[in-house]
Amino acid sequence: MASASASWKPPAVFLLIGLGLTQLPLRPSEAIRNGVFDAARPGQLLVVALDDRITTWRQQRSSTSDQDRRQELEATQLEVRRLRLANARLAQRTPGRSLPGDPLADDLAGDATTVPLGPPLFVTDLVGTRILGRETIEAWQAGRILDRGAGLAIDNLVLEPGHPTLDRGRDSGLARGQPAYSGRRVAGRISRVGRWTATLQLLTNRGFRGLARLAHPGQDHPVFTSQGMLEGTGDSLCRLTLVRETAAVKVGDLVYTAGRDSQFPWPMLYGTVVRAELPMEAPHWEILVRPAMDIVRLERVEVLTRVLNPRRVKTPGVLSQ
Amino acid sequence: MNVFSPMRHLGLLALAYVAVVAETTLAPEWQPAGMSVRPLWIALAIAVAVCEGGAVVVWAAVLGLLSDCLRGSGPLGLDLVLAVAVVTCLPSAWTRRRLRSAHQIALVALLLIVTIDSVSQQVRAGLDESFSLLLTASLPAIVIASLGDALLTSGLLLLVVWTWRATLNSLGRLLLPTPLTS
Repeated sequence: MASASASWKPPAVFLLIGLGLTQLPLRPSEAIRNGVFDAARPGQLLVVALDDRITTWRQQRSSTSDQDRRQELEATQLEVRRLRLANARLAQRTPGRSLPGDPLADDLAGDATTVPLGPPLFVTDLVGTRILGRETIEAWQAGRILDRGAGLAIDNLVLEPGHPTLDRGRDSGLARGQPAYSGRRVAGRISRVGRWTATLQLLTNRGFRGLARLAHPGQDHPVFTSQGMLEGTGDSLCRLTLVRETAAVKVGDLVYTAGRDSQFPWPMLYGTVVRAELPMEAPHWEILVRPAMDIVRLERVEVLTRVLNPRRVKTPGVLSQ
Repeated sequence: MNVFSPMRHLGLLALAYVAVVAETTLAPEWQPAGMSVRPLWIALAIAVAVCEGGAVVVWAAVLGLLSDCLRGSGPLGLDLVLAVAVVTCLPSAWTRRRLRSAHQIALVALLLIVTIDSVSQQVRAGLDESFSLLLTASLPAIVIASLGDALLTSGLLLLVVWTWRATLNSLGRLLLPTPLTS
């Protein structure tokens, strides 16, 4: 009985205390509440400090892991480039992409190269032309040049702002679009043609576009990799576009002409890569190319002309056989 | 008197403080699916499990008063009265048998939270509105919300108790001397 009375006394006492507290005025109630909150304050500060530390640690960890991933990505990209380079070197040894003079490629080419192709339909010729100086042009425009009745009228002088004027025109077989070279370097292409003169669109002029091939300088010969489009910027440099992001490009790479119907055994040189950047998530490289030829000192160019092969014209037809 | 009783009460005091801090810092931040954890009632369930007789009532009164202070609205003493009433009505208080099983402790926590929170919120809301409107409008919502909180809290408590006992068992095996063999 004693233990039973002892068991209900504490609950009864605390129930009475609780009921008494419910009747407490607002001010003492608030004082008690504030006391509890004040007592909890150090613990709350500790939790906030811990939370800050954990957040900082997580950020550091995530940034570290991001950095690791970035380094890993760069290493992988370098490896991909190295493999692509090796692949490009091997590709140069296959028959389809062989370089002239490569004995292994000649062996692999087999019978395909032994079949005689006959005379080509077109033959090419290089027409050497001089670039007219400003004084000559001014004299021509002023009518101070004696033409001895040859018809050197002012209207026959073809001029274009920013384009050099050549001293050969339609009379020498020049036509619009013909490529012009300076040695083995690309100078540009003919843009306008007159009877006696023509204008040259330099490869740095805005509007110039040409197929191009990238090549790494090799020991014996350049190793061609990927293709792109060379465009004039209107500045002293050209832009190489449409080179895919998977290609291996580096500063110092050479840029040559591309195209199937090249009349030369060796591609012509556009210039050298001076800047190559691959922006994040970009599908193509951003490449700037310095032209191989010195535009300021350019005095003469050779224009490539194509004419119908006279041997093909003289070949007897099937009926005559 | 058990030698470990003062240590036990000191531990419960520390647990009560941690519960107050957690109730004001972590519980409002972590509310999965709208449910919230009630650390104070976890502490009370543990007190019910580790103490006997009047000590349980004292801890119920202390933790109930702390809960009253943290609620911020309504009169002081309501949660105190409810907590004392509930722990007094628990079978363990009448049978004087301590809770051993983790499931029993979690069940006590569930009962405490559903009862105390439901009634406390109901009464506090009823102080501003008419009683009949309160019963029809807010009682189911309050009970459902309290049940959600109770399930989450008791589940968490169950995990804590299991982890604690597993750790103690592992330590016990490590510290026990190797039995002699013939």
